[in-house]
Amino acid sequence: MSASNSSMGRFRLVSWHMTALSLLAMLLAWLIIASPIGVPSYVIPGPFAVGEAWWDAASSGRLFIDILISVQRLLLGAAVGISTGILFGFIVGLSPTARVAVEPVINAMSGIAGIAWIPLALAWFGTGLGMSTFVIWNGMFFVVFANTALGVSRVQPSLAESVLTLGGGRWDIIRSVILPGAAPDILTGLRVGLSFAWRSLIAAELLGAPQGLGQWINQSATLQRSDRILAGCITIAVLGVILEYLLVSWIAARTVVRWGTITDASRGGAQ
Amino acid sequence: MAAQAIKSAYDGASPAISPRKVLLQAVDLCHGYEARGEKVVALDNVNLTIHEGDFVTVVGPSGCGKSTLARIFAGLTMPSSGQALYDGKLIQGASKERGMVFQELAILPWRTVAGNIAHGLEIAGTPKAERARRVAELVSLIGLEGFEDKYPRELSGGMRQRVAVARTWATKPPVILMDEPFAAVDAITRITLQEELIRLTHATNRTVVFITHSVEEAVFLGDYVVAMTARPGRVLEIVPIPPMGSERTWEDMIKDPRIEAISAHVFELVRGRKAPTARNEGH
Repeated sequence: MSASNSSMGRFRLVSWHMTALSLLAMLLAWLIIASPIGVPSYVIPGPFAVGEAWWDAASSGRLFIDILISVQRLLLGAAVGISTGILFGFIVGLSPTARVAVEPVINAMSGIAGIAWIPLALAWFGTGLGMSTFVIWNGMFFVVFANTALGVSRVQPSLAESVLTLGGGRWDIIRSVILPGAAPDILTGLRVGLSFAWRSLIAAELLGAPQGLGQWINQSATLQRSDRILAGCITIAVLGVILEYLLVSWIAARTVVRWGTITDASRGGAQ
Repeated sequence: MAAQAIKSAYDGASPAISPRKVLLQAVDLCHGYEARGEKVVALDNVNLTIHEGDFVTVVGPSGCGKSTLARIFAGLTMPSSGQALYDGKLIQGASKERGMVFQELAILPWRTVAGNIAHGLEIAGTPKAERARRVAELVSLIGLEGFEDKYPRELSGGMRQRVAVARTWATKPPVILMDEPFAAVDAITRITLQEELIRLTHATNRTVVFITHSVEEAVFLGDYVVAMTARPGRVLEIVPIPPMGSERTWEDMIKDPRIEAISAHVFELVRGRKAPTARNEGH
């Protein structure tokens, strides 16, 4: 791989160059759209106005309190969503009986938009951590569950059988075959699930939770501060990227990418 | 039984005359299953006796139930009727006493070469130092020194197959079942792997049941060849191979007229062109 990289290097852009390039292109488009020849600034404020709004909130310290509150809610909800999703995914993936019993119900529930639960969640849990945890769990659970169940059920059966002929039992199979074998699908579930978790959290904060980034955006909307709304959205996007890296990409690079059980897209698929 | 008769003939030729222990037995083994609503008889009344130290090859066309036979001996498939015995006891599930090398590559992509070979030892609770010693020994036996920390994706097909063999060998199971292990590697690598397997088996004195659809492979590797026919799967004849020693090579084998005659005979058997030799009837 290193050989092909060095020979191709002169003609091929490294992946992070491409990312930087597309970000620059977006920024440029934004500058043009928000310039005097584009749309009025109350519709789409320019990058400088948004940067200023962000800096105002950041320098007063208010923004970081909201970020901390949102991240705390997200991590708690994600922890519950991930652990229950993986647990139920394993149960359904390993047991045909459980699959028949549970899967139709779970699939039916997964079709309900998370936002529909928020009024009920407010009634059940009030506006505290319980509410946001439930809403995030609801946004995340189904995709983590479905991907885990898929990954568990498509592990090559002879790998599990080989553990039996080595004298291993059910626990050895789960630990040394099923879990690493299902890891690519589980990580896909986490990746998609995390983005769902962010959407659910912001929805919950917009619709009732006190403080947090969603609430900050909500208040900015009341004040008709589109610059602050955009600053909030960009903050959420950046936080999402950081958390995705810490919770998914970091793990993937040390597991499935290293094993070669998935192709690493960030290396342009060069294997 | 015929296999027994053949083995005693061999024992008579060798100086050491102690009747060898019966390790594996198939008694009136039948196995059927349903595939797409159709009843398939994979094994029909198979009787077979395998002694300690035997290298048995089982050859037959696809659908003759030879893989099913290996899986029954491994304890991974329960026969519809009849019995499979290991060391006189009924086989009721998989056990570390009967290792298996699978047709589809069954090494773990998430473990290195050393990690794969050590897997069975970890399960058995072997102490770390002993594990490392055993892994090093097997790595050198299969000629993969320097590749200990590589993952399977970084190896060639032949290297992966060597790892699969070493992984099964590591825990020293008395019986090793091999289900068409070299079917997926190229012809030249296959010859190398076969010669290595003979050396490994003699060096470690295991009992091996080797399933293959290749007559040449069966005749080259086996102390005797179990020739099977398909639909229903039956044992046609058990064909002894003249002792060639642990240093047998393809070059020696193809020059030997006896081997040529045996290969032709087995080939006709599995193709259904020839009646079994009289002395082995009843199988």
